[in-house]
Amino acid sequence: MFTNLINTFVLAWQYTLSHADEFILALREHLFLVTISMIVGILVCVPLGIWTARSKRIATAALNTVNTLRVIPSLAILFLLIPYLGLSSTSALIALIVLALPPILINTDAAFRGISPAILEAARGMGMKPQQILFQIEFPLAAPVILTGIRIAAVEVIASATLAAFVGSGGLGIYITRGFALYDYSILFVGAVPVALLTLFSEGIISGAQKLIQYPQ
Amino acid sequence: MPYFLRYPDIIFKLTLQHLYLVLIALSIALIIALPLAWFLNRHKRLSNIVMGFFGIVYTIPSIALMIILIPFLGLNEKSVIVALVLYSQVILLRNILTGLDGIPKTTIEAANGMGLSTWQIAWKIQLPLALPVILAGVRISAVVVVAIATIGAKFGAGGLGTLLFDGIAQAGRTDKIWTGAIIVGLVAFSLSRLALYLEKRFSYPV
Amino acid sequence: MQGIVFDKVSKQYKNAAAPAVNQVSFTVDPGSLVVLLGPSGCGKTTLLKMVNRLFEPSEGTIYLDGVNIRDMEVTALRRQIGYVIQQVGLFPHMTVAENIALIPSLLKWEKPRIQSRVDELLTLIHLDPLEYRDRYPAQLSGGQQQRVGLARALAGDPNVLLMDEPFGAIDAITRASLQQEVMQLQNQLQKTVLFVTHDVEEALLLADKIAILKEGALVQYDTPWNLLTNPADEFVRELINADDRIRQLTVLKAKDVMIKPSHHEQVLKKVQQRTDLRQVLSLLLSSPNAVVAVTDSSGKVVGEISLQQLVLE
Repeated sequence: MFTNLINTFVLAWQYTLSHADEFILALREHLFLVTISMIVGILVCVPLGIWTARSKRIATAALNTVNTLRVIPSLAILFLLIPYLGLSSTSALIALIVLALPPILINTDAAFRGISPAILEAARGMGMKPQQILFQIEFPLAAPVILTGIRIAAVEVIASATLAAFVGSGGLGIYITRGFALYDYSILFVGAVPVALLTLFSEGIISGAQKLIQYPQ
Repeated sequence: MPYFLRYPDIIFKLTLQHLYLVLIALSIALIIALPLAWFLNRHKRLSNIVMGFFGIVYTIPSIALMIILIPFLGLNEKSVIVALVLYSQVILLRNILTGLDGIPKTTIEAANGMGLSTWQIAWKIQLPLALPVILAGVRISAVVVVAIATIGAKFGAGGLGTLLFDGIAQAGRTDKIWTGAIIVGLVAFSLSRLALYLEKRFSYPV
Repeated sequence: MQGIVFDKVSKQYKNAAAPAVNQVSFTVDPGSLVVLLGPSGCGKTTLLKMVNRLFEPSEGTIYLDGVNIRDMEVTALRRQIGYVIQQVGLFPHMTVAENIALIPSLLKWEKPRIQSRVDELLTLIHLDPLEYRDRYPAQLSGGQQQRVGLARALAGDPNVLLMDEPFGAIDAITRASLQQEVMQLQNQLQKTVLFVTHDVEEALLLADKIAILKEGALVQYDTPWNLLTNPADEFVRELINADDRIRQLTVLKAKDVMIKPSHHEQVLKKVQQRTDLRQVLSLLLSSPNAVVAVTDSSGKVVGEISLQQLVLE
């Protein structure tokens, strides 16, 4: 069993070396898909989350939509959107953004709601302006939970970017489609292992950032 | 005519396959998680390491994990089921531990004092008291497992993912994709509801 | 300085049957501590929060040092007023020093001045600056947190202090010591203070004057002694237990009733002139001739009190 594993690793490594240029391109495409969708997700959901935390009407609409999305497997969402948007990187990107939205929105909303009203009242009573309260009090206090949402979204997006290859987009998933087509495990590994490493890496970075901004509780 | 109306028997078969994957995985996961969590509850230092390990496992995308299991188990449903079991561990362990922690120490002391054996305490006291929280964990895992099991289609395990993958591979079969997505959503929703019902049923006033 | 003037202030909420605050008018003299006292729902907190415009009056005007507060920019107004609330509201992600320094930095003081102000205030509330500057709120006890809250409110050296049931969430022992600290601070700093409480003992202890509110209306505004001896109606009488003579004694000090010392060859027990009469009574009950001598802070005898006097008062 283990020799099997080591064999597969060795073969996968050899394959990567022999397809180095293609691999680097795939990696870049993957990272491109991930970074862009995360940035858009954050730019959309953080302000939206602040809005939903303050307005009941918007909150019900937005959170209900997002919660329904969560129940549907990402694979399904991805596959549903593609036929309508066409087989291209742009459509994969849009699908990934849709997948990144729920965790970031839900967490930003919860984070801002969770700030103790006494703190906000003290800040208002002291004469802080609304933007000052937002940036000096609310954001720092909400940051840990928002970062958790970003962490979850990042993992989701990195994983789904892999599946994007099934719909004709680039990225590390090409090795997975190829591996299934050729019934070759080692090629599957060339796709799977870097993806796993990427997710672990992003978890590590964001957890590290969370530890940095921790204050004694 | 819409796909699901034309071939209800195929859909039914695929749903059953999907449920098979989900239920087998959840059962195995519980059989492992219950005693493991009970053990970790008594050895707190270990729990951090174990939870950390399964946390890392959870981070790895499902398809990547399943692929990594192939050399061990082959390109078949075994890799899928093992992956599903591993994914549910972090959720189940965390919930069972929380449930066990929620039992007041004095209750266990009283049971000890009354002369109950460790096994009796685990079975008659700890399990019933922790049950609502455990069921909450089962509920969350069920939704996650139903979603990940869609990938099983690629591994020859069948299931509703077949509709999704076929729908993409065959040009213009969006009806298959829709059917697959909706049924999967319904399965996840129903299991979640069932678990919620059980949760409420086994709740007790605090 | 002209203190705070309430002129027919009212607050009516849209779907409410009766106004929360109903045509309240009175003046808070500068440098005095006025307590807003009343049962739950009487409007005391609403009234307080209209001074820093967290609520806006539906009718009437509030003047701060002669200026209509509605003519001031809201945040500028609030930065001039110290605000202390029951749940404290310290910012958990900032150190003690950063919490206290917040208003001075909003007011754009220079760094060194802010630094020394923080140390000054920590010393004032009896927390060693070196030890507490860099602590976080979660590392403080409830009493310490509220003292930091007080320091934070005083940081910008405001003339006016608003306190909304500041000791309501604190245990009785710590509360007593915090009340003493407030009295000391008030002696030293002479701020104009509006203090909301439903605790009658606390009111009688701290107040120069008490405004008693019932269902939004001002029932009586007077010194503790006058409230106890001349309650305006049955409600006030019952609220502060005016008929309790011993309670009346607690709000009077020895110097308020002492008479000239007559020559007594006996050696008398002594009390400070600032001691309240209940303690004097306690001492008198254990004095052989039922007379005690009253001294000033240096120890010199300035008067005397006999049990007879207290019976007649």
